[in-house]
Amino acid sequence: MNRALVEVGALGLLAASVLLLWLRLRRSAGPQSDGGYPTRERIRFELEHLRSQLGRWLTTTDHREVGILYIVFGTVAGLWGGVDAMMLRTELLTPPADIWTPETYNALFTTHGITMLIFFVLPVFFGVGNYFLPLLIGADDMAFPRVNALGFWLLPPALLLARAGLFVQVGGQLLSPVFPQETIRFFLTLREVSVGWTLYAPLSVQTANPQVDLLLIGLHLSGVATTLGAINFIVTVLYERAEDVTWANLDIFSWNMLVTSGLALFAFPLLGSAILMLLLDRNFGTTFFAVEGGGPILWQHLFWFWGHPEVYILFLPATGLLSTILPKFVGRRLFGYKFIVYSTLGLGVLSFAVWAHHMFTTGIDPGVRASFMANSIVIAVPSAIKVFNWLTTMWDGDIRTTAPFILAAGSIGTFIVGGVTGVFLAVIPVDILYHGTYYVVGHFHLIVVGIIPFMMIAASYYWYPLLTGRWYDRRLAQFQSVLLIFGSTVTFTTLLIIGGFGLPRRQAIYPPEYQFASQIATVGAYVIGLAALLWLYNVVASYWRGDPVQSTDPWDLKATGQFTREWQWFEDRMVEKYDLTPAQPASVRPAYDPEGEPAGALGGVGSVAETVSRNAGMAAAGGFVGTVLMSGGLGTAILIGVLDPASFGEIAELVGLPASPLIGAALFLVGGTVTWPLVFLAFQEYLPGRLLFETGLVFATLISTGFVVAFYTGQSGLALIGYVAFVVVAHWAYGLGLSVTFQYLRRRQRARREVG
Amino acid sequence: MVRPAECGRVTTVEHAGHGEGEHTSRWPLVTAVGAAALYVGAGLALVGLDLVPAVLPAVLVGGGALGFVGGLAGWFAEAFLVDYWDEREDVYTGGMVLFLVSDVSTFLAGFVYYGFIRIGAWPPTELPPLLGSLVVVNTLILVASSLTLHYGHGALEAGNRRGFLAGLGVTTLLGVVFLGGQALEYYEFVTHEHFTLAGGAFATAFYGLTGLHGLHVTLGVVLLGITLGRALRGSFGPERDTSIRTVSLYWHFVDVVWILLVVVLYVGAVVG
Amino acid sequence: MKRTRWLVRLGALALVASLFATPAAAQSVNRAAIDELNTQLLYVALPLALFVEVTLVYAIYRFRNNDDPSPTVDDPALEITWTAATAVILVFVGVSAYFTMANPYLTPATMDDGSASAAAADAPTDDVVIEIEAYQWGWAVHYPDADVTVRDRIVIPVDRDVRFVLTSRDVIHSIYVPSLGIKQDIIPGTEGVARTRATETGEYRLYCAELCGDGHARMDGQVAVLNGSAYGAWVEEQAEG
Ligand code: HEA
Ligand code: HEA
Ligand code: CUA
Ligand SMILES: [Cu+2]
Repeated sequence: MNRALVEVGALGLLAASVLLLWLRLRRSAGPQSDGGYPTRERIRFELEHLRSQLGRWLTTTDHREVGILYIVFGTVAGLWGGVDAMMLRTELLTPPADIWTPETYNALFTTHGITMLIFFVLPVFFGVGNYFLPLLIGADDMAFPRVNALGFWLLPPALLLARAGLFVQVGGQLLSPVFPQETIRFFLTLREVSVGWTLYAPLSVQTANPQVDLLLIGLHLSGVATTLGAINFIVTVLYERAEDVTWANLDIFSWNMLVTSGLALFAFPLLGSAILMLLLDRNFGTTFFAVEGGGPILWQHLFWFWGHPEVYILFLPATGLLSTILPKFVGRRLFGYKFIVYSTLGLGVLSFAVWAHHMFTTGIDPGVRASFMANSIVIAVPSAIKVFNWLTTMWDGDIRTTAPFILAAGSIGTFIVGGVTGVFLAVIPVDILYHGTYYVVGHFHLIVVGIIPFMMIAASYYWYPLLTGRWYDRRLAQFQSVLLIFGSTVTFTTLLIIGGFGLPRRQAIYPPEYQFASQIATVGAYVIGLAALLWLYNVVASYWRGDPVQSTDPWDLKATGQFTREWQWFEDRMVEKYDLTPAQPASVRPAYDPEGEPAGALGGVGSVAETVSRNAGMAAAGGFVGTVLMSGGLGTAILIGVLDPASFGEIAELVGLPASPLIGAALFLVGGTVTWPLVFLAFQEYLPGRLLFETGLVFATLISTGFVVAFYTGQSGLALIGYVAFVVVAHWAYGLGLSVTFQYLRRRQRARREVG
Repeated sequence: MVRPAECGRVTTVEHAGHGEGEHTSRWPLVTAVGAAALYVGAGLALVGLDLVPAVLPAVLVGGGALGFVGGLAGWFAEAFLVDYWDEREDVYTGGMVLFLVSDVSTFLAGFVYYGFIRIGAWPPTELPPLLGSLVVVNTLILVASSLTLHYGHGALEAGNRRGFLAGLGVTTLLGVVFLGGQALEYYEFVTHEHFTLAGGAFATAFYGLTGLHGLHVTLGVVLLGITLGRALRGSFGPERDTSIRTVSLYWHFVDVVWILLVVVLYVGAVVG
Repeated sequence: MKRTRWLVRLGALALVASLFATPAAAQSVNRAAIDELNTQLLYVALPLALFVEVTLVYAIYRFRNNDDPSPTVDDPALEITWTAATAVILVFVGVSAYFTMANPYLTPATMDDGSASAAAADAPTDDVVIEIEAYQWGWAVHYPDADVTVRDRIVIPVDRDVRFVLTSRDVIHSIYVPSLGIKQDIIPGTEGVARTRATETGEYRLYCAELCGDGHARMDGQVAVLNGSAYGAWVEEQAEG
């Protein structure tokens, strides 16, 4: 099929439907006309209105209006990239390349990747930041309002340059019946770039298609725009905060925008230089990435030095939104604000130290590789901190399953899978197998789809009343959110699995045995597309038809004391404009208790260090008692012969020591006295069970399943039953030992404190 | 709600009945369109003059450059000549410092390339005579220009208008002379040494890095020129030196980069 | 191939089930080492990920419309504990990965004093050496011993160390044999190395795993692992034919 016409047709159809919807709703929302023909005055009036609107939007420097422009632009780019994705998935319905040629397929994923990563995500987040960051920090506007507008207006030409190939190609197809070939060679030569979003040299240098040059120029322009935006955000946060906004109470979204901008400030200029170098290589015979000069690997270093921070540039604002929105629907303040800020800073720093994990199979020096592996594994720690804090925020709260909450929870769920698969990729031997397969595609889509657009949509729902003064269709929104999560999970876990079986990515043609899985992924992708369309419909239609917001506190945030600055601004405006009275919550309860004692097993008395050391001692004591009790059960199992002692050797092997049962047993003891008790202490309050020993039993049962799997040596029948039974009972003994010791020690402690 | 500083930044049109101002300016759009035309023109030129009639890129680049500079000029006029608010000085200085941080990264890519080829067999090709009197003179000129700019700034703060104008003027002039020297060096290399852009691994590093630096100097000269024009019209005073401060930062930065280039690229290529 | 098809279907239907399924016996030492590490990591990561997911779901279930919510109370000790616990787990991941990485089949460079280019001639081993040149879009496989060149089909003996010396004629390609656990990018201007020892005879898929232009998807082929005598016969036949 003719790719260019299909794509432009789809985009045109989409644009036309949205426009039609907009106009119809707008007319029906206005005062009723008498049904006659529109009068001349009416048309004149309309045109006049249009002109002044256009003038205003073209020249505005107001941070909120520029923000809206950014958001609209990003949405258009996202839909465009989404249409690419739908076309990609459609091609993959069948193993051969029968809908589009392989070259067209290559062009589709190239432009899909570039459009999504560069023109969709950051513009939307810059838009959200533009609108809300000044409100959140109490600034009147961004620090440089004109630079702000300039940064935005550089983006549309950048996108058009980057994707000019599509229009030029359509132009060629329309012109070719009329004009002789010779005169329209320009239109017949350019087509969308097909070298992958990574633009690896020497392929990108050797490719004849001149659209590569336009793409590079467009990317450079967008890089300039991004750098300007980043400087603006940093200066705004540094210098324009209201007096009472300090570093210690700066809201979490602004923190994330600040760190993101810091990353962009250093990453994008480097990409800009690298792009110019590629342009010179293509056109002027320089040797930056030629074999006799810097070599093809240099491009990869420079590209990923930008590319890896870039993915965190996209990711951090989404986590900022999550940390902002989640607590509002849980009725509890964000847990561990300080640690989330630290983890954000940590991610920012670390993200510049892991780029070569994209190059593990290029044959770079093993020592270098190993250190990048270490850094890439370490980067999971700050992400884990975020995840655990989000979960703890939800714990003991009052959850309202509104659309923004559903999306936030879905984001956490998909991010865990996306993140953990990232750790697998960071492990070099595993990456040797998975690099360049759909496993990687699955990994990053679970994040770039699974948290980034999720949180954008969640934010659009959360702030919709503030943005428009109206409500969207809330039932539809909930349905749409569930649909989106469902579609993404189906699509991208399927890709993860076929990647695990070895299917390479970026292939228009694939072996027939993967067809069924591919089709599942495609159907899932269509579901995502449907969910996207529902969202679009909902926000466009509700702009005119939604119920007007009646309260100045539409989410009832005052009830938990989370009525943040931007809502305060909204309230002021509503009061001024519509004479609403400020909302009064029916009842108030605190969302945060700075003086309170943590309910956790760790007891919040004394300094942190003291707590930690005391708990370590307690954990060791409990763990030791538990392990001794447990050994009885396991020993019996070994005696009866249902448990193979040699399997202890495997523990030793697991950590890379010689496979001796003795070392294994020693390690087992260490694990039993140190690791598991600490885990138990950390999670004890989240496990079901009222009394401590009940909790201990639950914990023991949980970890016994891991043991059962790990030490399974092929028993069957009665031996298997005996094996499982003994293991579980032994673990119960462990759990009891652990919890009873804790109970005892804690009671003694308390008694001592009361005496002293 | 609107602080006084706010009004200074953007022409404010009061909205009937509301306390909020409506902020508009046409200069960002003009500047953006100019820059975009410049980029599109350059892109079309790269696409190939066999596909695109040469007038098109020429017109786009020329018009774009004009639009860009015109946009900036209008911008400055609106931002600084109409109102001037000094309390925003730290904001502008902060913005410039951040820009320079990003610029470090811009140069970094080039230096990394040089590092990549420098650790290989050296020299990769025959080197042109790098260490001549020209480099020495040019370096001295650039260092001197930093000093004159510093002097001018000091004079401004001391209220010495003539000294200020002289310092600024001489700095601009030295910048132009430096660019001339650079052009002369290129000319010598290309015509006499047949050392051209496509002349191998070292040529790529040499022209890439010095060219990037030359672009920075050019931009610096343009900025100095605009500042000089405004200085002649009396826009600056002891308390009103934000522009001078930011332009100085930029100029000193470019100077430091040059010294680094001389050490690493000129001297570093010949020794060791 | 039948089995893969079945596995793929199963996998698409049940993620957990397929991940727990004992991996099919590996067909080379590379693949065996990778699979072993992968399984080890799965034992740690899968319960952990499941645990976090279950906690998430449970929290939503339990605290939805909760009548008795309590306010957030900071708990630095808890923060430090889970940070430390994550770090401990990750140290385990790193250590076991590091030891597997040192495997001379996965990192051939560790054999030849660190430089990957110390390839064919001076390799101090009795590896079977096969020179592979990748080009747009195909593979030229050269057997120096017999001085024959075959296209798009690599034939190797079973249970012998095999060393591929890799070069590219034009752009970056990547040799990828999933069943044997081989993947190595082929960068123009440098000589790459990959090593393996196949443990099972059979026909395996060969892909190019780096986008190399319009024909990238068609740049696939076969790897045949033959037993010793069949291999010798094959080489002889090629040399004559
Ligand atoms: C926003 C996007 C985003 C994010 C956040 C990440 C996060 C991570 N990524 Fe990913 N990545 C991409 C986008 C992203 N990535 C893209 C686009 C590519 C492909 C580019 C291309 O080739 O086209 C890629 C490719 C990629 C590779 C290269 C694969 C290859 O091509 O061979 C690697 C390898 O190390 C990697 C690793 C990681 C790691 C370790 C993290 C970590 O930050 C993840 C940390 C998070 C968690 C671990 C989950 C939460 C933690 C817990 C629940 C606690 C318990 C867990 C443990 C103790 C393990 N990524
Ligand atoms: C932020 C980044 C981002 C986002 C959001 C997405 C979103 C999606 N991606 Fe993307 N993807 C990348 C970044 C991203 N991707 C990158 C970097 C690559 C690598 C490129 C490369 O290898 O060079 C890639 C590659 C990639 C591939 C691999 C191609 C290959 O290697 O052969 C696939 C295949 O399934 C895919 C699918 C999808 C799908 C189905 C979505 C969906 O989530 C899209 C959802 C959006 C919409 C659906 C928009 C709205 C839709 C409509 C308005 C149309 C409605 C139409 C119908 C319902 C039919 N992507
Ligand atoms: Cu060769 Cu892809
Ligand atoms: Cu990365």
